[in-house]
Amino acid sequence: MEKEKFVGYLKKFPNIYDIEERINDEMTGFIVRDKQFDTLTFFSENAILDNNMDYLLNQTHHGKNIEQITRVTGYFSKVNSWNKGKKAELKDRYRSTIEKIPVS
Amino acid sequence: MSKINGNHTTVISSIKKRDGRIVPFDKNKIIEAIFKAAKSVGGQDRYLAEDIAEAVTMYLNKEFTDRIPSVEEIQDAVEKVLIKTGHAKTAKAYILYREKRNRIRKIKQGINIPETSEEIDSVLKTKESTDLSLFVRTSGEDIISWDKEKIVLSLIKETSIEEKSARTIAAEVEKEIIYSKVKFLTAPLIREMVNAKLIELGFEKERKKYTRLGLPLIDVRNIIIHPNKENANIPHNPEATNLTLAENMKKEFALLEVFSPDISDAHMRGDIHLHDLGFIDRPYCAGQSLEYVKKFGLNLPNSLSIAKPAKHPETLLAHMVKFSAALQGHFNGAIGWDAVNIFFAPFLVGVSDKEIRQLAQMLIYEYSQQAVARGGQAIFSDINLYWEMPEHFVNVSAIGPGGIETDKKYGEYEKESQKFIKALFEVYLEGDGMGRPFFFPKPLLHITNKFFDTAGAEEFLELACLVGTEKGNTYFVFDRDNTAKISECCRLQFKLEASDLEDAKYPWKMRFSALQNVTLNMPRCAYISDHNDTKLFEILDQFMELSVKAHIEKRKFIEKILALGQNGPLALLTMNLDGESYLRMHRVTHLIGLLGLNEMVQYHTGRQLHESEDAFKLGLKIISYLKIVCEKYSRQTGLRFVLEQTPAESTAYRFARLDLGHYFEQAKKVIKGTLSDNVYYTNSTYLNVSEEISPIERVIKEGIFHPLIDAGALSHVWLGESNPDAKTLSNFIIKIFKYSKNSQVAFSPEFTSCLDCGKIYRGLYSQCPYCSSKKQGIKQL
Repeated sequence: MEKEKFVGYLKKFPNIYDIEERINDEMTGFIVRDKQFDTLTFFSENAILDNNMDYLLNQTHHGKNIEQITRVTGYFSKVNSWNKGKKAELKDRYRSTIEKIPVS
Repeated sequence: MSKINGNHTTVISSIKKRDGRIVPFDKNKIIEAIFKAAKSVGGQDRYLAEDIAEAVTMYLNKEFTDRIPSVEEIQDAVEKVLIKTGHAKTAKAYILYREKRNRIRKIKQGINIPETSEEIDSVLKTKESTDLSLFVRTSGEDIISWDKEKIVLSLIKETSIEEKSARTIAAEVEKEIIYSKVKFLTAPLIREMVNAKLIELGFEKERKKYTRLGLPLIDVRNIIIHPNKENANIPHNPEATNLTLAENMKKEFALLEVFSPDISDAHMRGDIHLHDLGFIDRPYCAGQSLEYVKKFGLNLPNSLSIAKPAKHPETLLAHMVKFSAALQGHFNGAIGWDAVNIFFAPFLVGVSDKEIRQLAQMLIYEYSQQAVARGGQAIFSDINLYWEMPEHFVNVSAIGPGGIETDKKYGEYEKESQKFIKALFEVYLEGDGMGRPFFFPKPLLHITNKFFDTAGAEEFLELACLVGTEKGNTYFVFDRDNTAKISECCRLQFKLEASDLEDAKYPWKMRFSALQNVTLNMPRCAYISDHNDTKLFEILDQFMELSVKAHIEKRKFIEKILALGQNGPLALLTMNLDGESYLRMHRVTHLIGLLGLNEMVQYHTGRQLHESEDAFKLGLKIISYLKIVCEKYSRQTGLRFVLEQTPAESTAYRFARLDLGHYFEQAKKVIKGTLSDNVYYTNSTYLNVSEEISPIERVIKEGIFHPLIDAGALSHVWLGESNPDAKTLSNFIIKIFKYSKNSQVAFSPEFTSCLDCGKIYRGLYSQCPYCSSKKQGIKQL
């Protein structure tokens, strides 16, 4: 996509993004701060040109736009909503590799 | 009486109290009063107080040669001596204190006393001349002019205080308001001021009755803006924050009004935990069969329209889901449905496989997407399922479309029932639109002895195990040797006793409920008893006694609102379509929750449950003992007390945190987690979750406790990333059924779902491996 369009879009959301022109590894481009995910991402002008908006915006997440799911006590839920005690327990849980256990 | 001595002075021996009684003179009381006054102005010399009291005594001896002095006269003497001996500051404090006590006494006697402080009087006068232009924001959303009469009326109405006292209090509050020069008042602020006055004047009982429940501004702001982390099943949206706000207020109400102070304190201290206090006006949870809905349709009190019994499977499904939502509004937690595939079966005769599959998909999605119901919270729903036709339903008359009996028994619907359960598990295997596991409804697969003799069992068990390993949904419930139960919640079960099996012949009668759950802080029992065996059981007794009392108090409250019948808040539970009210109070259970047996035993013996035979045996002895205590209380009260493995999602954290505060030295030795704030106790009777114990050994060992825990137990096998094949898992299940006493097992895989690329990974990742990988011309800094 056109770089003006990309930059213009990000500037419309100053609460989420900061954007600044920068040279990185001898490539001209932009550095983007994503305040939701607390990340910094460098986009070369070519990368902006070669990709669409959705793809580029997702790149500012660094793969952190995820949900972790497992059983909390007697039901499944999203780990980010757990209390500190349950999160501590999750860390401690011994995970079984049941195939290694002779059951016959 | 005074008596003459050699110096022609007397020695005071008695005084006359305000109520006219004659009591012995006690110099110490004078010392105390002087010292108290002296301390209030910075004095520290007790000997000085004694000297002054001695001087007062001498003065009294001289003055009262012919009669007994009154309390007032003695106080006058103290004032005089203090001033004469140059203790002006102390004298002033003494006078002020005396004056205050006098005022309190007079207010309590209902005497309207004249003003004393000139300063306030003068302010009052100038204010009066400008016509007291004060305004109050009322709780009825109005702004009205100040009128102290409103305080008088509300005090009399709410606390039954004497009118004279109420008037005096209102006048005192008015004075303070005027003196403070505040221009804008709110009803809560005035109430706080009245309460402060009630405390100052010693009206403790009245103050309690005059309490205002509510939250500080900062808490309300936090609740509205930030997510609730106490319960992972509560999302963050306006409906959810309504729920949280209401819960907070009802919790305060419960602790103040429903439970007696000793029970509320035991909860606040963390000796016991009263679950779901924010839902004080509801029973705990409900388990029922579809037959009620099939037979009576949807005919709910106060509803806008009434539906006759369903004639089509889709309509039945709609009734079931709507009734679940109605029940969710009347119970704290789980809504469980018995033998869902069996009771659906008469509606599925002649229905194509494709349509059955569609129905299965609708059922699961309807429940899993009900996060628009109460408080934006998904209905905590359970569907009990059977591959075989369990003995207690084989000869039960089936109810078909239109609520009419079909002339057949359920035993004759095995084929339809099996088609439906298979379709349900196929949907679970597929997962949601992104391939993630469904959170609700939870499928509880019952396995009775008959399972293994039923055709196709092996193949079906592999499907259920495939769901178990791929998605984790399946709960394997073991009903050995003719036990019949209906399961729900995190592990709760209602075991069908002889009388209940009689009910099974009329399955719409199968309506079970647990009224309340109260959990024992078991590690704390060990801390308090300090390695003493006898004391350990004594403390357990004490905690049990508190729990039973708590149950009785909640029951009384529920009975009170049930008695309001069709005009009461629990009208739905009192509806009477089959000769008895929907909630059958004679059949409800009272749960005693277990928490932290592992840490209790660890502190007491120095070893955890899995570390020594003795520790394990002590654990068993404790749980057996508690079961006997439950039975004792059941006989004594005629109520059903049963042990349950508390799911303890928040309680395992709460007790651990409280014990770190109150029993730090002891708790730090056994508490799990990382001491700062990330702490927990091991749930119920579980073995330490972090120990490398093989799944089979864990399930067998934990299962030894299960027969003692009548209201439900569960063993977890945490799978994490590993993905055993279905065949291995089904062997595992068969072994557990045959060679252990374990009553329920679930396998828990972990997932990471990327919302950007839509990929699902096995295991927990903090970043999506795909999205965080390197891309041409893009660099993560």
